[in-house]
Amino acid sequence: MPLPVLGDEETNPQAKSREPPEDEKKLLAEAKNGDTEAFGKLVERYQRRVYTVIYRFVRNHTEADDLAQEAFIRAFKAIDRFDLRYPFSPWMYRIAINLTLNHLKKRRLPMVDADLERKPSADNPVSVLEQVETRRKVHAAIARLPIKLRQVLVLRVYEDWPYAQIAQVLDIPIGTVMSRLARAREAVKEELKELL
Amino acid sequence: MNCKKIEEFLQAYHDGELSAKEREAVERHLKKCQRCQAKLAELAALDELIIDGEAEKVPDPGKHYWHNFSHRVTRRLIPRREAIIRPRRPRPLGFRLLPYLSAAVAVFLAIVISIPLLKRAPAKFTEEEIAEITAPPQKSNVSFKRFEKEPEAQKIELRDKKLVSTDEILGAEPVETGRKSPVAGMTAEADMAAKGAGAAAKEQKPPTEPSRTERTFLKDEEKAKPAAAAKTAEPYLEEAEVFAAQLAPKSGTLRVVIDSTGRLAKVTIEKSSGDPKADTMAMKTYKNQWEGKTFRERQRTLLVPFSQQPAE
Repeated sequence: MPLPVLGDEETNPQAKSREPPEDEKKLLAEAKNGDTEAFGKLVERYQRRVYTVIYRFVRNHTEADDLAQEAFIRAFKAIDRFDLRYPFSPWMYRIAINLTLNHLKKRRLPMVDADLERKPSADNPVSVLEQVETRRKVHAAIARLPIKLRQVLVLRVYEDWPYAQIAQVLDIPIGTVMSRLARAREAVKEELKELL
Repeated sequence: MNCKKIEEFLQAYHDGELSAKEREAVERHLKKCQRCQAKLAELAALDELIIDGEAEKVPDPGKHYWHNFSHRVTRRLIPRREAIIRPRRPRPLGFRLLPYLSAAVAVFLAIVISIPLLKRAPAKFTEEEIAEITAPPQKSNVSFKRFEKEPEAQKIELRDKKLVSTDEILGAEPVETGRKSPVAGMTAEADMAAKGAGAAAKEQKPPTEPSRTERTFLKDEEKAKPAAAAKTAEPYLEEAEVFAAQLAPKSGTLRVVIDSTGRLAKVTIEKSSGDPKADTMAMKTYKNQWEGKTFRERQRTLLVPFSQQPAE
C-alpha cells in the first residue's frame, strides 16, 4: 500500500506568490517582537515545504523532523536580522538548506534511502528488483555529487524551483546556478549512461 | 543561432527559464536540428530517471504530525527559565512541623514504656533479714565475703588477716576481724571439728539462725540440724580455710576459679607474695589438694591467701 505523499501545492514555492502577503508581514513583525504564537503560525505555513526540502537531502523522516524543527528555531532566533521588505520563504529555505548541508557534512555517511526498498510500483518480482536496482544506482550517483552541485540539482529537479529562487536561497548568482546544474546533470548522466 | 549557442540555452529551455523570445529562437533551431533534439530528449530522460529513481514523492508523516509540529517548535522557543521557574509554594504546616512532632512522639513513647519499669515494687525483706543487714558486724578470724550477681560468677573472698601458721589457727583463739558470714561460720566450725579444734570453734561461734543467704545455700539441707549442715558444708571452703591456715600471713593471695561444672578451673596469683617460687609452689599445692574434687556451688572465684614459706 503506497504511502500518502505531499502534494505539489503544499511543497512547491512556485505555487505561492513570491511577494509576502500582508498578513505574513504582520506575523513576521509580531515574531520579531518575540511573539512565539505569531511565529507558530508562520511555522504552520512553511512546515511542509521546509520538511520536504530537508527530506530530499537526508531521505530520513527522523532526521528531517529534527532538522526542520531546528531550522525554525534558528529562524526565530535570527529573525531580528530579517528584513521585512523581502519575502520570508527564501530566507527560511536558506536556513533550512544550510543547516541540512552542514548536517550532511558532519554525518559523513552515504545517504540511506528507505524508499528504495519499500516503494516499488511493479507487481512483477523481476520488475521490482529492476526498480530497486535502478533507484539504488540513481541514488548513489546523486549521493556522490559534491554538495554544491547536489543542492542545485535537488532543488531544481525535485523541488522544481526556478533558477532565481535557487540563487536567492543559496545566495549565489543565477549564472552559477545554471553552471552548477549543468555540471551536476553531466556527472549524473555519466554515472547512469547505461540506464539511458 | 548555431548548435553551440543553442546548447547554452538548451538546459534553460528544458527548465522553462527562457524568455518568450529566447524560447522561440531555440524552438526554431530544434525543428531543423536533430542533434539538438536528441540532446534535449536526453536531458528530459535524465531528469525523468532522476525523479523516478529517487522516489520523487516525499512520504507524508500524517495530519497528526503536522498538527503538532508547530506546537513542538514553539514549545522549544519558550525560554527554559520561564518554563521551569515557578514561585515556590510554602509547604503545608504539617510538613514543616514533622521533625518536631516526630521528636515529641519519640519522647512520649519513651516515657510510656518506662513507667511500668519505674513502678516495679522494690524487693521486700523480712524483719529478720532487715535485722541481719542492720546488725553490727561480728568479728571472726576467718571471713568470707560473698559477691552477689558478679558478671562472670559469684565470688567468695577468703580473708584472714591474722592466720599465721597451722599451729596458731589450731591452738589459738580465733580473732574476729571482719563481718561474720553464716556460711563462713559453719565452714570454720566444720573445719575446726575435722582438725580437732571443734571445741574452740564452738565456743567462738554459737549456732545462730541462718541468714537469707544461708537458707538459700542450704535449701536441700536440714535447716534444723546445724551440725549436720556443717558436715555437708562446702568442701572447698573448708579446704581453703585449711590451706590458708597452713600458710604465713599477708604473704599472697591465690585466685581460684570454679567452673560451671563445679571443678577447679584455674588457679592464678591474685596478689604475689614477692617470691615467684613461693607463688608457684602455692598454686601447685592448691591444685594438688583439689585434684579430682567437685564442688557443689559452681562458677565461683576464691581468693585464698598463702605465705612465702609454706609450713612444713
